[in-house]
Amino acid sequence: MEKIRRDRKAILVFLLPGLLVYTILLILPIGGSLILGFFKWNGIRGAEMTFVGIENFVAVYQDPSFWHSMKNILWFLVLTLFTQLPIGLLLAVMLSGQFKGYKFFKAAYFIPQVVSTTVVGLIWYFILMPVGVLNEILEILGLGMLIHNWLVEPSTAMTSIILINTWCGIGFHMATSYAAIQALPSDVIEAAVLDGCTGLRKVRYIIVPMIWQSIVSSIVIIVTAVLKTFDLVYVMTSGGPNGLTDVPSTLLYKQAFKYSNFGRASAIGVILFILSVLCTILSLRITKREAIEY
Amino acid sequence: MCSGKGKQIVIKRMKKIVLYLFCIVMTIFFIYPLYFILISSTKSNTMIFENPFLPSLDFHFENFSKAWATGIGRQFMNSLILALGAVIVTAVFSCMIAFALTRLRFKLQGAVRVYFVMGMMVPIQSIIVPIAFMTNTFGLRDNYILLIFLYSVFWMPLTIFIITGFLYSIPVSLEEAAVIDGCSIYKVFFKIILPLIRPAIATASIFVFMYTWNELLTAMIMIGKSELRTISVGLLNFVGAHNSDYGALMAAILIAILPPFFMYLFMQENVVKGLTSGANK
Repeated sequence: MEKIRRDRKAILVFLLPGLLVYTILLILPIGGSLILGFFKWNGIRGAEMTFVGIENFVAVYQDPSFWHSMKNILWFLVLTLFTQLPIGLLLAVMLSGQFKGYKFFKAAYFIPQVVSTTVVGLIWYFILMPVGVLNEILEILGLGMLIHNWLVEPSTAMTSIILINTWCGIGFHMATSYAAIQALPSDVIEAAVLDGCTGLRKVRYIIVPMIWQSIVSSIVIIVTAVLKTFDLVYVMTSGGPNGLTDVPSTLLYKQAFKYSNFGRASAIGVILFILSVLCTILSLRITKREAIEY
Repeated sequence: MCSGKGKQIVIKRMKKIVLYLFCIVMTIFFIYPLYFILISSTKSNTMIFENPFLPSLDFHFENFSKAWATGIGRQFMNSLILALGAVIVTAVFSCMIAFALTRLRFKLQGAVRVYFVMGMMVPIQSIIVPIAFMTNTFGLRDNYILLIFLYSVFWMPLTIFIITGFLYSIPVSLEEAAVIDGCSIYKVFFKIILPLIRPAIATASIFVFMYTWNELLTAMIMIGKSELRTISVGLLNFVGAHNSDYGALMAAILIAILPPFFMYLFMQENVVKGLTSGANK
């Protein structure tokens, strides 16, 4: 058996095609992104590509709209981490009681994940329109003073988008947390409950530490996903009005396809990649804990 | 003593009522937007905003035919082709690579494994500019084959991860017996491994299909011809082009979410498993 496992030709046959395609279409472009960041190019075939050194990176550094997009994405990250994961976790804990009908609720809460972000953005765009459902409900409830032009006003625009993204993602973290809770040994939890640890204390001191791996995984996923956010923002506001709700991805898109500034867009892409790697490593470091043996 | 116990039962019952109330409120919270689309898709434009809570009995089914005719139908097919293509190509490459990484032996095995895992950290925005550069230079825009391979390459790391995870739990005794009987490594792959990893392939294929179907950025950038657009891009353009025909837009959105939604309805457990498989990194 061992000899067959080392068959050179077989190894190449199985490995090479996928490896080649993967390298050309995923790995090489990362380098290409870096290289392109040093040039000025307007994206038209055959047009001039001038080497400008680090000018693009400097321009990005000096661009106030870039820092505004970074501020947006930071707020995005913080708000999402403190709403999406806790709510998802809480729902999972609640559903793990497996009371009658829990399966229906679990299925319902996951539905937003199945629908594309484009569609989510479009639907909520309608709900948040000045004449949309949300304002109508507020009017009916007599809360008319809370009516806003949600996606346009500086005080509500970005937060609205973030909360909609949260709405979308709660189901995901509910599902993963639920699966993790199901895998826990029930005798340990029962013993704790018998000792008087119930309700929120049970969640905080028993369940959370035991499913910590799953929680860390959720945090990493949130961090990487938020940094990459494009669809939702683009569909709802195109990063506007006037760059109010821009995030790095929408900025990148605009630089490349609106201002034909491929070099600058590439520079943003490189920065995004580095940020993504850094944040992943950072969040893994911060959440490192001893695995609980049980 | 009796009254004490009675009180306990009442409290318990109240807790249960509160629980169910909360669950129902949450359900409305999560489902309302889709419900809104459903009832609005058969309404006339004015009715949509007049009563956003109840369906109207005045069914305007022409919203659907209008939407389908003005491009959504075509885009639906396009998305279907791309999504299915991506599923197939991803599955093929990932199975082969997963097999090489778990059942074969070669020197740089660990390095290759890391090489593929790295890909999971790459945001598509970071590579889309060089890819646009490549396609412009080689005139490969509107090329579905390239787009399918592009999508596949993007989902490969996660798919490989899922399949290798699955393969580790399959004992090698079956293959060893086959080899003793004279099977070549290729036969082992096709006749033994592939049938065994079908659940993993199914799980991965679900999320490859869904994410490709729902994808926006790459489809926007790589496709120029309007008749080759995907449904995500099409919906966006629909809003731009037919700004106030909300009824038709709602119908278009409903059509767009039909495949993923039906997949969810019939394969709920698997869809959840598939979409959350990225969590096990």
